[in-house]
Amino acid sequence: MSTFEPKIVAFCCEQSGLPAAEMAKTLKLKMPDNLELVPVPCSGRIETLYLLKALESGADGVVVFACYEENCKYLQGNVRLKSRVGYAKQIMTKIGLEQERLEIFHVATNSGVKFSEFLLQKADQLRPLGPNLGKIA
Amino acid sequence: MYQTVYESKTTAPAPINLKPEVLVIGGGIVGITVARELAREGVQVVIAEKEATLGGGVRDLHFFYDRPADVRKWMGDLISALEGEGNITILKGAKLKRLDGQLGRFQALVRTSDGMERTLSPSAVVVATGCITRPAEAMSDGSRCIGSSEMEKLLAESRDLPLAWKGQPVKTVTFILDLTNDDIKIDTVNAIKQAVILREKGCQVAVVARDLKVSVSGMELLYRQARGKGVLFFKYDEPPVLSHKGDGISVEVQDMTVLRKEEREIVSLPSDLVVTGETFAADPEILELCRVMKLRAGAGGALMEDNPQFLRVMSNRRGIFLAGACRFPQVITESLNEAHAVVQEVKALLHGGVYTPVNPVAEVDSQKCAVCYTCVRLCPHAAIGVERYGDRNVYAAPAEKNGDTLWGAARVDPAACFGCGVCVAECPARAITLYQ
Amino acid sequence: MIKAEQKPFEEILEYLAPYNKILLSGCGACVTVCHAGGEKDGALLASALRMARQKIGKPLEIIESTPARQCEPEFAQELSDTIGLVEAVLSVSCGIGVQTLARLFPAMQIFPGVNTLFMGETVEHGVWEERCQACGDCILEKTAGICPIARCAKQLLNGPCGGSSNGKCEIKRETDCAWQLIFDRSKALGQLHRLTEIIPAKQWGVQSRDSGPRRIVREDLKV
Repeated sequence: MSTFEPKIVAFCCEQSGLPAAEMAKTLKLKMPDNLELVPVPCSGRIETLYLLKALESGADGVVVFACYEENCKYLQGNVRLKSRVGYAKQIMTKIGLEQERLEIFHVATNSGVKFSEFLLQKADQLRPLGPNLGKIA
Repeated sequence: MYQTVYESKTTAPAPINLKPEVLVIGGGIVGITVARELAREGVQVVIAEKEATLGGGVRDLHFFYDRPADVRKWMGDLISALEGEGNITILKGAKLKRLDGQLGRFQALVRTSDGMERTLSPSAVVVATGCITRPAEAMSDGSRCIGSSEMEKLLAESRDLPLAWKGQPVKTVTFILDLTNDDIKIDTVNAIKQAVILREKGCQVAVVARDLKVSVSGMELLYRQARGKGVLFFKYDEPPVLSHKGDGISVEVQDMTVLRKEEREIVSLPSDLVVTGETFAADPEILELCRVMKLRAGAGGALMEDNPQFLRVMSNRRGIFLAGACRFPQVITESLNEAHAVVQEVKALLHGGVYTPVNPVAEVDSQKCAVCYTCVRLCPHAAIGVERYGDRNVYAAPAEKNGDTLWGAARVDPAACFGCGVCVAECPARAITLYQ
Repeated sequence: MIKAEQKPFEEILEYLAPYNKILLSGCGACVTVCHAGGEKDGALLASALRMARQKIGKPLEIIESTPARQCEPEFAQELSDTIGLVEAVLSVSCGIGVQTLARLFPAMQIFPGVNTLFMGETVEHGVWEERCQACGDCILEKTAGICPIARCAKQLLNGPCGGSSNGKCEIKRETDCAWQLIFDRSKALGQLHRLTEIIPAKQWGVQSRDSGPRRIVREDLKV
């Protein structure tokens, strides 16, 4: 258990999350070890299915970095995503997966520090929960 | 599987021809300016104005705040210059009834007041329909309270004579601002402009406002000029209280210039006339226009999206532009800046005569489509359509109607798609793919 | 169209408890349109089932397939190869699709994944409401296009009950009183006098399903 490092899949909106990720990388900020970034053109592109599939394929936690509401370049993408995350969380409750394993975090392009801080906090939050027992590695 | 957000496709969508034809909805100063400048570049422009005359909201204005010219004459010159311009067709009493198609192949049905209908096929559309004003009420019985456009008219008619209203001389005028119109500055501009003119006529003038909104080009100078001429300015937290006093109205406001709250006195301003700003509201017909044009209406029913990524003169649909008071009520110079911006955008778009869709673009697999209309409803850019093929009960891809292209499905127009992927994510049949 | 809703997750898990390899078969028609069981919602259900079973240490293998419809025998036949590979089928089509599969594959267990609820219309995106109960003798001509069988809680045929209040139904307060709607629309059409015509009681045993499943036969169409 002490060597367990939660695998986090971070969906990054190309309008906010990805620039924030790049800023964090440029500033050489500390990031969790077991991290996978998936860029998307808009957080609205993220299907509910992707959120579950990420968990099914081995993630211990899924994070979505999306623009703040009313800042979506495509107007409503992040609002649709929010509904889908709500739906996915309902399914997770039925499966018996902890709610902390899926979260949206709103960022802007210049949020490099917030980006890395959130991911580190999430890794800290997931570590005591242990690995995702639903994953089919 | 979630890693392949895009699929790659080797063939790029075909370029779309753009003929130099534009439809401008609205014949006010913005519509006229856009039309004239585009026409000079050789673009065929049709202006559809719903009233019987051109001019729009500027009709009520006589004086500029930033130059000594006469607005009516300036407007008249603009309109005559327009009517002499080739490449422009002006339709009066005309309203847009239907808009089908997308960038490059819009089909606009315009109906004129004589009942005639004509179909236009512009490559781009400009919306410049303006806003409406409603008089703000400061006092319930309305006596001796007039709106700023009435004051404008009074000043224009009185010329060099002393000011009179309904036969009675006017010696003291108080302007009350900011009862409505939170972030709109036009009423402040008009008030200070009129205040200066009134001082020159020898009236005593006071301006009562919550904030002095002088963040418009040239307004700080005008404000200083007004103060120099002896216009009194009062700011308030609580709205002023009005009451009848003799023949006139007494406007009571707290003197906020005193630092200590306990020492603030109530100042009474006796006024022969009280001028209240007018409320600028979104034209309710905008909502119908939005329905016809599949545009999004922002908060309050105006066409402005409160979104920093929503570039100023762009609408949510490619090829449709907005400018002027229908987007946000502003002073003439600012509205004309937007008009020039639209002209630049349209020129850039039509230059070269083609639009080449830039990937990523979504595409519907017609075999899997259940025609459930989910994607059509959710596309933020109104880029997806399902249309009947002729009169037969078969749904076909719009504007590609020949025997080979019976899709029986929804279709994303590559010219209108912004590649956000919302449709891809929502399709219950997983029939849509985003191509890079 | 037929509207359905996914069954409670726990119930589906119970059906599938004895099996280790199943086919999840969707339908590309009605359940796709109401987002209950097309390819997307089927895939979502499959993913959730896999994770739930993984968690309890009893992995479940799921093959996903979504024919265009399940109520046509030819479409259902498309599944025959896949069915040979599994122990049971979870069908997220409507009840008709489940029964078609059951008829065509008598040796296979077919479980329903959705509850078929009603024939209804789209009120707004994401909201569907019951409009037709297939009573078998449509009276919409008499009721200004609004059906009291489907929309009146008591299925009254000749006007509202005493509980109709402010246009709302006494059984379910949020529901509009169907007879209020019929009255308003008849009035707007200038057809109020039609409501004075008595609509006789329905012959449930003859026209409708009360004497068993109904059948339509078109002799001219038969091959």
